[in-house]
Amino acid sequence: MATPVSDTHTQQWQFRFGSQYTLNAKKGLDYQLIHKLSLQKKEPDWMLKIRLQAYEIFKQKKLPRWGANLSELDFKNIFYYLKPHAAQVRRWEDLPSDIRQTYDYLGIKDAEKNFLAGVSAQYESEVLYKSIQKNLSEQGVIFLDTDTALKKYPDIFKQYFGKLVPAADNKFAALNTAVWSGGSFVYIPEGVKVDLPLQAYFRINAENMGQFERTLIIAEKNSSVHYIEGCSAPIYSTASLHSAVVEIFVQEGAQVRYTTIQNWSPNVYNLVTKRAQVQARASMQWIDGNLGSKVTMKYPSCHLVGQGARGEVLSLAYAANSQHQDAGAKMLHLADNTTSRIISKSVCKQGGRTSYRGLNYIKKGAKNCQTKVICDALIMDEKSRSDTYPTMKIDEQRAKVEHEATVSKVSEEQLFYLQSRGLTQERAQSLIVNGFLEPIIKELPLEYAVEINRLISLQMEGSVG
Amino acid sequence: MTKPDQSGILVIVYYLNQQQLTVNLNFEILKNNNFKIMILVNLIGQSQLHLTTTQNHLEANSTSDLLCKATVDQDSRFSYYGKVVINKAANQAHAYQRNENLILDSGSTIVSEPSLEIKANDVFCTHGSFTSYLDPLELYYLQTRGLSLCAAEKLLTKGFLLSGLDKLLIEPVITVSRLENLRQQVGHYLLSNH
Repeated sequence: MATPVSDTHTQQWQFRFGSQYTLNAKKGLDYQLIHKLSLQKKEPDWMLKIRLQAYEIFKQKKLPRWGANLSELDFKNIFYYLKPHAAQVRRWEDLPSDIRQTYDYLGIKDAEKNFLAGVSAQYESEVLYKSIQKNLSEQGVIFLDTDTALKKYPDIFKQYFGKLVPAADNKFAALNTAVWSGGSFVYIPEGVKVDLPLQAYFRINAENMGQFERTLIIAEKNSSVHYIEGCSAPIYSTASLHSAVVEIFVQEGAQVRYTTIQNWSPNVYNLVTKRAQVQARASMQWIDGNLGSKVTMKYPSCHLVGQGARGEVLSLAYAANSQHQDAGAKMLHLADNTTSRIISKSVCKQGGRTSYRGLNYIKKGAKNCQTKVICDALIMDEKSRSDTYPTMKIDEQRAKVEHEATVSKVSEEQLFYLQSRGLTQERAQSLIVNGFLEPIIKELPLEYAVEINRLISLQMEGSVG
Repeated sequence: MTKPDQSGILVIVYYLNQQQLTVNLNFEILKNNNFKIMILVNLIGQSQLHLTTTQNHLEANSTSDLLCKATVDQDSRFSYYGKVVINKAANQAHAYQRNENLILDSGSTIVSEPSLEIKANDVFCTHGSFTSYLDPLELYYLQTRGLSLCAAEKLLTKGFLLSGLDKLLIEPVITVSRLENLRQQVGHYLLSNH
């Protein structure tokens, strides 16, 4: 069975196809480009105004002084918008051959056939393929690219866009608000439960490309949805930038699960802002797999604003060969009886660095809240590094806040025992690492779980010694 | 200042009443050092304590174990920044850090930021932070045994703070009588105004 993730971790980075672009903006960002972009998309004036205001904020804000090293990121050397020579289609066969080959190679088409309710495929700055099962459309489920949603549903769009992640939130939120293109708009009506996942796949193909998708998910009362996103890019010697914003509104009693398997090539800066607002008795679950990129800075967060709301983040980070995965989570308890859990597992080898950065905040007056953080890291060799930077801020007496973290290497005793049972050292190490990551992997759809187990095993070969 | 092959136990007690204090404790852990550090904190009367500790493992085969227990009452604020750094040369290092906090009233706040920076791979390092309030069931039980609410709170708070000292009993230099003396001195100092 074909899987949405390729055979090995690094094969996705090796292939690329030459593509043509109908709108080939020059590198760098200025007012002219933003005007051109907005005109190209035929946007309403209020969106252009928002973009221009965001650009002003972006110019004024400084890079964060904490986290990964972003000093080599050259904003002037990035393409902020590239429109491929293809219109959006509903059948894979209607895509240009170079673009279709890309998605065939990645197995997206087979995945749609076998186990997805809907698929969206973004190539550079535009979504080129979109589909959704007919029965879901009939129930009122909306699954569109964000550009189309802005035109078809401007009232809903305006009600939610930028409300959770305003442009002033941070420098990269401002950049995304100024030049966003593509992404997904998902609307689940009250009471509708989408059983099969909706998937979006993001592909960067050109060199020095910046991808700035904007995703908006609204789950009305008592609805449920599982959204999966995957991403990859070919490897170049120069940097690319992926700076997305995801805003999710989970209304009363609704359940949303958002799964990301990020496998950007190691020249990509992956700087993302993801935030969910969770109402009473609703639940939000982020499953965050970070396998690729040169630098990732990503902290999915939940604002638990309704009584009994629940937030959960399961984060997996793998860093090798000078990659830096600076990932974590934020939970803000703003109402009574809210609960949250953060589980973070990371593995670093061959000079990779993993950092957990988290925030648990209990607001004054938010009674009987409980939150727990479990953060474990494996360091495979002496060239690698692991950090943990949690923050617990408790302004309310009646709250329970727990955090624990462990950093170690693979246990010698466990290795010895498995070898005494006939396994090679590589196989034993692979088994132990897969077991270490099991709490996260078991939450993934089966096809992804199998693939990640396989790539971990492949990566462990050559780790011993 | 420490030297290689040294071991020791350090008990530090902070009791603040209507005071503010910023403290920075830096422990350099050298080869074959084995240090236990216990920090007990009691804040009342709108006090504020900003406490930063650093367990900096510089050499191999070093062990450090830090426990910080704090109670905050009467609109006080405790901010704890605990850093564990294991440098590249510090293989076979073991570092432990734990912060436990009890909030006794609705006006007090806690900030806890334990952090780890691990640059060597053959190490074991763990930290934890736990913040909560007095268990209503335990308070209820003590009252059923005839204690007033105030006395019950005092007993549980004292037990919370001094229980950390019990962990020292496994150390060879600590005898039962020495530990009892320590409990009395610390208990008297920490809780005299309750």
